[in-house]
Order: sequence, then C-alpha cells, then structure tokens
Amino acid sequence: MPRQAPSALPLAAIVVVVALVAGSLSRSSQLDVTTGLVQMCIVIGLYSFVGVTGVFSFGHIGFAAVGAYVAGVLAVPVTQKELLYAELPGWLSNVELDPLVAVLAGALAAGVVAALLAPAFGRVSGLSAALATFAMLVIVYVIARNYEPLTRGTKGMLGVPRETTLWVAAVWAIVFVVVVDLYQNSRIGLQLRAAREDDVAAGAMGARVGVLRGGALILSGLLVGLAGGVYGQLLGSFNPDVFYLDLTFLTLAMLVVGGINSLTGAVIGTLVLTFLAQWLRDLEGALDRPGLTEVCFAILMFAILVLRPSGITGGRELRLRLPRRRRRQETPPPVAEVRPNSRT
Amino acid sequence: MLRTDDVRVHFEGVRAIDGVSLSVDRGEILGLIGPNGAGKTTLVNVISGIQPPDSGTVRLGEDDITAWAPPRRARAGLGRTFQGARLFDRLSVEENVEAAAVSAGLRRRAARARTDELLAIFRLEDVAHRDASTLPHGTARRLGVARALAVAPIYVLLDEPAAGLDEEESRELVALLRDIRDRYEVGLVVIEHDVPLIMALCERIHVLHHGETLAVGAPAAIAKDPQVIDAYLGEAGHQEVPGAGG
Repeated sequence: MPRQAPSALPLAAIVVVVALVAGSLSRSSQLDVTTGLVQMCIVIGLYSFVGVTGVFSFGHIGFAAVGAYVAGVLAVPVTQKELLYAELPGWLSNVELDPLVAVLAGALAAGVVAALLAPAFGRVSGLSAALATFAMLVIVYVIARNYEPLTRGTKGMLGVPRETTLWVAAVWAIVFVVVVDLYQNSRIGLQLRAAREDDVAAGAMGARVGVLRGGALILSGLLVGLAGGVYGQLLGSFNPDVFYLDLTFLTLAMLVVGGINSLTGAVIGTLVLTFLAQWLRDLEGALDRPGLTEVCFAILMFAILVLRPSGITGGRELRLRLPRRRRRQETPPPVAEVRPNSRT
Repeated sequence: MLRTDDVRVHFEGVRAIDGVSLSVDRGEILGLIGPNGAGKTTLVNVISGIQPPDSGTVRLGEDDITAWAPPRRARAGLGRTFQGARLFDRLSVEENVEAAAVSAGLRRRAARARTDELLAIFRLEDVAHRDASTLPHGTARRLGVARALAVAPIYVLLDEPAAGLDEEESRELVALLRDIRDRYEVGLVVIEHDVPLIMALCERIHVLHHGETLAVGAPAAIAKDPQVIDAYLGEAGHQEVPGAGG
C-alpha cells in the first residue's frame, strides 16, 4: 500500500516562492519577510514539541534566548569585545567563532538546557507543563537581564554580526521543515503523536512516553535555540525583552492560527501572521493607534480558538499526491523473531 | 502461559478483585464474563500493567511481570484493546497500526509489513488514510483489534470487542478472532457481554462475580452452571447459546 507523501517538499516550495517574491520587494519588505522566515524557524521548533507531543509550552522562547546570547557572544569580533564586553571572562573575550559555528554552538547550549529539564518534562503534562515551561522562560529572562558581563543586561547585546539575509533565513526555514517532517514521521515521531492522542493507550502498545517526551524537548530546544541564534544574527543587537513575552505570544499565535497539530499549520500560520502584521503596522501608523497589531492578533487567536480550534489547516498536512512505487510485498517476520525478548 | 495468581485490588475499601487466579495458554481463547462491576476490566488492567494490584502476581511465561510497566509488558508480547476503543483519533488508520508496531519495538520495515498485513486481514485498506476519528463504529472496533495485534503479541486482552456491533458484524468478528488466533498462535482473553458470541468463540470461560471467580470451564458446562445462571446468564435474558460446547 502506498504511504502518504511527506509534506516537506510542498512546504519547502512555499518558502522558496516567498523568498523569490520577497527578493523583488523593497528592502524594508525584504527585512519583514526575512524576520518572518526566522520566526517560522522558531514556530517550527515550537511545533516539534507542542504539536508533536501535545504538551503545551509557554517557555520555548527561553531556548531562543539561550541560542541568541550564546551564538551572539561567540561571534562578536574580538576587537569589539574589548570595547563592549570588558567584563567577559578572559577565555571568552578571545573567542571569535564563524557565525555559522556560533549559531550551532548556541543551539547546543539551548539543547543542554533542554536536556537538564527533560527528565522533569517526561513526567508532567497539561497545565503543569505549561507553567513549568513559563517558569523556565522567566529564569532565562532574569539571568539575561542581570548577568551583565555576558549579556550586557538591559543595555542589550551589541556587535553581533548580521549574517542572516533573506536567503540565509529561507535556507534555514527549509532545513527546519525537512528535519521536523522527517522527525514527525520517524518511529519516534509516530509514537509521540500516538501518545499525544492517548498516552495510556500508547503506553499499552509499548511506547515509553516519558522518555520520548524528554527527547522531544531536547530536540525542540536545539531547534529553537538554533533559530534564536539566527534571529540574533538578523537583529545585530538585542536585549532580553526581544526574547520574552511578545515573541512568546507572537509565535504561539502563529502556531495556533495555522493549526497546532501540523507542520503545515506552523508554516502557514507564520506566513499569514507575518503578512497580516505588515498590513496592520501600516494601518497602525495611518490611524496613529499604537498596539493595534497586538490587539488584532489577540482577537484573531481568540476567534480561531473558539471557532476553529484546529487552526486554518485543521491539523492537516499539505501533501503532494504522487504515485509511489508499490513496496515489495514482504512477509512480516514471525512473532518470535520480531520481538527482542520473545517469550512463550 | 499467561496467568494471574491470587490477584487483589481494592478501591477505597471496595474489593474490585478479590483473589482471582486466571490462566490462558498460547493459542487458547478464554472468555472473561460476569455482570457489570464484576471486576473484568480491572483484571485486564492489572494484567496489562495499567492498574497495580494490592497483592498477587501476574506471570508471562516464566517471568513475574507484576512490577513491569505497561510498555515493557507490551514489548514482551502482551497486547490489548480498550472498552472505549481509545484509538489515536487524529492519526490515520494506517498510522494507528504502525504506531503500535513501532512502539512495541519493531523496526520500521517490519512494522510497515505487519501494518499492511493487518490492514488486509481486517479489511481496513480502503480507509487506511482516513483519520481514525472518522470511522464508523464497527470499523473502529476492527481497528482497535488490529492495533493490538500490531505489537506482535503472544497474548491479547480484548475488552468488549463486540460492543455496539450489529449481529452481522459480531459474526464477522468471531470469524476474524478465530483466524488471527490460528494465524498468529496468540492466546486471547475476551471480555464480552454478548453471551452467544462468547460461547461460540471461546474454548474456556472464566466467570467473575463481585471480584471473585464464580466458575471456570468449557462453555457448555458454564451455560448449565446454576450459580452462573443465577448470577449472570439469567440476567442476560435467557439468550440462545449457539455453539456452546465448542
């Protein structure tokens, strides 16, 4: 029987089309789209946990903050560190990594933070998990505000190389789409999605739900941390408030509006809200009504939650209906052979 | 052999299961019957690890699995269905079966082969790409059984697999369960209120009443047991018992 086609290809095609169209627009519009594509990476990283496991999180922007600060401080040129980061520990003040390597190091750091939390997140779900992730966000925010030798606190991080162009963001978005699509259709992703629907039934089928969810948190921490590093290299300078409640709300709204239970929802939701934000900001300026964008996003999210909780995509994936070669019919191994510990 | 020895479960002073010892051999179909509240589902939950017993043991072959978590039991060869189906609603039919197969430790290729085979046996190929939540009741029941078999079990616990099925669907289910018993050499423990179905399907029947074993025996003997008639079969409305004795 033919398997369903993966959704990465059409979603990647959408990203390419968006980047191509944006390339012909004004510089400010290009910047908006680039920002949207980086935020898409964050939303996809968020989806890899919230959407795949069904465990809600208010705290993933904390991973983005870790990624951005670590990638930032590792990539700031040594000459600027002498001026801007005089209190950095000696070994760090002499480090100047390639921006890409710095981004990967930021992702690793966020992954380590996620790994520290993973054992606890394997045991909680529902409101407890949401509150625990929010607590993590607050801790990261407070550290970013107060650990000035590394973060410069509220003065903000400066001198981060601006390496994230439109096409760099597009390539990262495509990488995220492909990685998360492979992941959600992998053995582990399938078990996690089953446990999202009914964790007791999934456990009775053999899924080690707590361990799997802990692993999902680490992967999503890595991804969102990576996206945070890319975002930092788009902004060039940022303070802790950039990675706090506004971005948390925005990325959650993107995921909810698009459809929390599909990768397609993460992509579509990000694009819809990115373009809507651009239009609303113009309207906000014309009407002189600051905050109009956020209020409209809140109303939209509320309306979606009430009227169509599964979002624009209804939890469905965009798939190409390609005919696939019929798999060679094979006889499944006898019961005793396929189970590692066969017993009678 | 799968067996429980002197299992007891109390819920806040109420004795849900009180010293039940049950056994089923590989390739055997055992019926588990009794009035509502007799403790049938609790016993199945104890066997599958969802409900820890207050005392007593559960053994799978030579292993004492009483302290094993449900995933370990599933991987050791214990599959089950649930009273309310409990399908993975937003996964496709195909994904429901494949998720169970990979959860039990099958590699992807073997899981896919097993999924294809089970979809064919349970006539689910035409709905393979539909979400489980959209299935009609009878089809959803078949999917529940197919999913339980995807874990490559030695024993399968079926909690009211015929609930809500019409007569035709129930007849098909009996044939299907016999077929999978023969095909996979699995031992089946079937909880069911449909007395004609259970009498026609099972080789042995274990009757529970108020958490205790009331009788164990062949269907023909159970159908004539005065205690069982008094406690349960009489209540079932003097149903015809076709094939009792087989």
